Formats: sequence, structure tokens, C-alpha cells
Amino acid sequence: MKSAALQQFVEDQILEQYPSLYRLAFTYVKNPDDAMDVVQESVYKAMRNAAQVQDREAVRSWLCRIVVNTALDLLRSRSREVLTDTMPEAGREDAYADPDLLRALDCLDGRERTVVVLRYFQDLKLQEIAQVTGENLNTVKTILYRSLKKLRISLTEGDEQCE
Amino acid sequence: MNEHTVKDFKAAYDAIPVPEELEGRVRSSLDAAKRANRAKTRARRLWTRTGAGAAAAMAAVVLLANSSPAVAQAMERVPVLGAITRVVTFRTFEEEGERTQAHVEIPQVEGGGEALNSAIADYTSAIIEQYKADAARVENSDVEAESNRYSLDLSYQVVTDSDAVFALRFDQALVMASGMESVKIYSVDKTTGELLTLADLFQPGSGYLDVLTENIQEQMRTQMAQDERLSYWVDSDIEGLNFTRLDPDTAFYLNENGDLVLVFNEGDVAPMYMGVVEFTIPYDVISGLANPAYFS
Repeated sequence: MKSAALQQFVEDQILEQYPSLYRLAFTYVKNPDDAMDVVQESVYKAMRNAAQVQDREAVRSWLCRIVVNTALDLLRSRSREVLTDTMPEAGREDAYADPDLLRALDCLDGRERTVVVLRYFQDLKLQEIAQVTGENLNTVKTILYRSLKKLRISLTEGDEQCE
Repeated sequence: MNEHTVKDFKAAYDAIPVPEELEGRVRSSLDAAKRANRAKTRARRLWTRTGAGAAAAMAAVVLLANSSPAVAQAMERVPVLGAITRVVTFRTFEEEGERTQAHVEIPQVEGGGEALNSAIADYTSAIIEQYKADAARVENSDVEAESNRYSLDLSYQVVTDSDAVFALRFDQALVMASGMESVKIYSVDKTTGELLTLADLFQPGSGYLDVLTENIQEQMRTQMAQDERLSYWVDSDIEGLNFTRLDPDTAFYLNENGDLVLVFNEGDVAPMYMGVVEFTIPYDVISGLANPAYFS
């Protein structure tokens, strides 16, 4: 009974949050098709494993974690494809609504971007971010601090300053 | 990042447009997952229930067989599956590597006859062999593929258990970067113990494939007209994509009402996001062609 209620709760959360999960995925894969694939696969994984959720409070950060991991998996499998046999796809444009602002995120490495996106866009607490990324709280703080510094530089000096 | 910029950032982020198509895909993913969850619990429930019933039946058999030579002789003529059908998980193949994971339930149908049990054994061992080969490749692959994951889940359930037919359904969920579901169903004639094909359910020369194809196409059109989230390959402009003729090897079972249900694997007759799709054929559509032995 308890698990049925929990499963229902997870389902409700998914239906409420899929647009925000889509945006989260989008910041990684940067095109609608892949982002939808990531969300769809994440939803499946989440529903299949709904019984593992510890408490309701944690559902939101848990969903974020699944999306982030699925997106990273996709990117890794892509980079492998490119290395082996497929030709890189001919110039697919990033479809950011405000290219300058969000493209500044590209200055950050994967860990940094995850922390910034989860903190400011998904409104997770630092402690929750630590759970998502599997880092300790202090590491998360450090990463956040470093990322903000990098972002400030890239925003004031323009895209070219990105390494 | 000062306050002002954070707000701008958040606004730019929230302005990332979410495609309309996504909702339908999320819902179909939810449905697929729930179906898979249900399939598991149902299989387990059925096992416990039949377990107790079969144990009682078994006790009766032992008792009767010992009581008189006449009864013992009569018992030998009891149809193969008629008296006792007990499905047990004969073996579970469980493996967990660093990046691979498998859970395969291998059932055995007691009193199920040679044909059925050897078909099950062949099918499950082929899947396990394939898994082992793929898993070895994933585990030994280079650093680039660090997060390449591979997982396999195979569960079964009894979908038909009528007087004449017994059918066991396997649901296979395979996750390799993206998920893949497929279904395999073994139907057996309870009196002969032989595996049934779709053709066996119909009278010879009845042209059942055309009738079924037409009915399925009709159902696809009706469903798509009623719910725009659904999509099937029927009347599409793309050459070769459309579902034009039912494959006689399509998986099937008879549901609790005795109606024929046809089951298509992911991507067979609809885009992959639709998952495994099923069509129930109303009996009046096939009443003239059906083999009366199997439809009650």
C-alpha cells in the first residue's frame, strides 16, 4: 500500500516537473530531440525504481539525478560513436532561446555546470546537490564558488574568453 | 554572478521551449514503466496462488493413484495440462557487473510437456548467451565508454489459462543507452501439449491474416483519431513504413474474456516511444473463421 502511494506520488511529480526536467536535460545535450529522449528514458527509469525512494522530500532531487546521469550517459555514448565509426553530424545549431546567456554555461565543465544549473535553475539546496552529484557538501560549495567566478568573467569579457 | 544576472539566467533557462510532443512521450514512458512494474507483481501473485492450488491437486493425485489400480490407470489418460499446471521459477539468472546487470527468470511449467519446456529453455538460454556476450563487450570496453550501461530484465506471466489453451508471456526489457522492450509468448494446446501458432486458431484457408490486418488498421485509425498522443504506422506517406500485413508469427494470447490479443514489439507497427502495443480482436470479427476448439 505504501509503495503504491509512493509510486503515485512519483508519477505526479514527474507529470508536474517534466518541463523543468526537459530544460535540465537540454543544458547538457543542447538539442530538443536528444533532450526528449533523455527525459523519456529518465521517466521510465524513475517509475521502474519508484520503490527505492527514501522519502518524498527527496523525489525532486532524485529525479534530477536520474536526468543528469542519463544525459551524461548519452553524451558519453555519443563521443564514443564519433571516435569509432560515425561521421560527426553536420553542424547542428544550438537552440538556446537567449544564446549569450546560456552559452556562457559552456565555459563550465560538467561538474560545474551541474552545480550551477541545479542551484539556480532547479532551486535545489546545496545539500540536495551534494546528494545528486555524490560529492560532499564542501566540494559542492567550492565548485559553485569557482563556477560563479568563471561565469562572471565570461559574461563581462564575452564568449571568446572561454577556454 | 550578482542578483541581476542570476535572474536573467533563470529567465533564459525558463525560456527554453518545451516541445508539445514531450508530454505524450512522458505519459507513454510512464505507462510502459507501470506495465512493467505490474507484470512483475502479477507474475509473483499468480505463482503463489497457483502454487497452493497445485499443491492440493498434487496431494490428491498421490492419494488417488495409490488407492486403486483402476484409478491409477485412469490418471494416465488425464490430459497433459488439464489436471495440473504449475508454473515455477525453475532458475533465476542474476548477474551484476560494474556496468552491467541482468535479472532473468526462467520458468518451468510442470506437466507442460516437452515442446513447451524446451522452447522456454531455448529462448531463455539464447537471451542469456546474448547478454553474456554483450556484457563482456561493455565491461571490457575502453575508458570512453565508462558509463556505457547494459541491463536486461526478463520476467514472465501466465496470460491465458482456459480449458483449452495455456499461454506464458515473457517481457524483456533491455537498456543499452536507451531502453528496448520486447515480448515473446508461448501458447500451448492443453490437450496435446503442442505449441500453438496463430494459424492454429483459425480454420485452414480462412484468410484470417487479411481479416486481422484490416481490423488492426481500423483500430489504429480510430485510436489515433481519438487521442492525438497516439501514433501508429498506418496511412503514412513514408514508403515501406506502414503496417500492411500481419506477420503470422506475431505474438498472441487469449485474454480472460477469451478474446484474441495480438502483441507487437516496440517499433514494429508504431514509433518506438509507443512501446509494446496490443490490439484485442473482438470475437464477432473472427467468429466465421475461428477454430472452435480454442475459442469458448
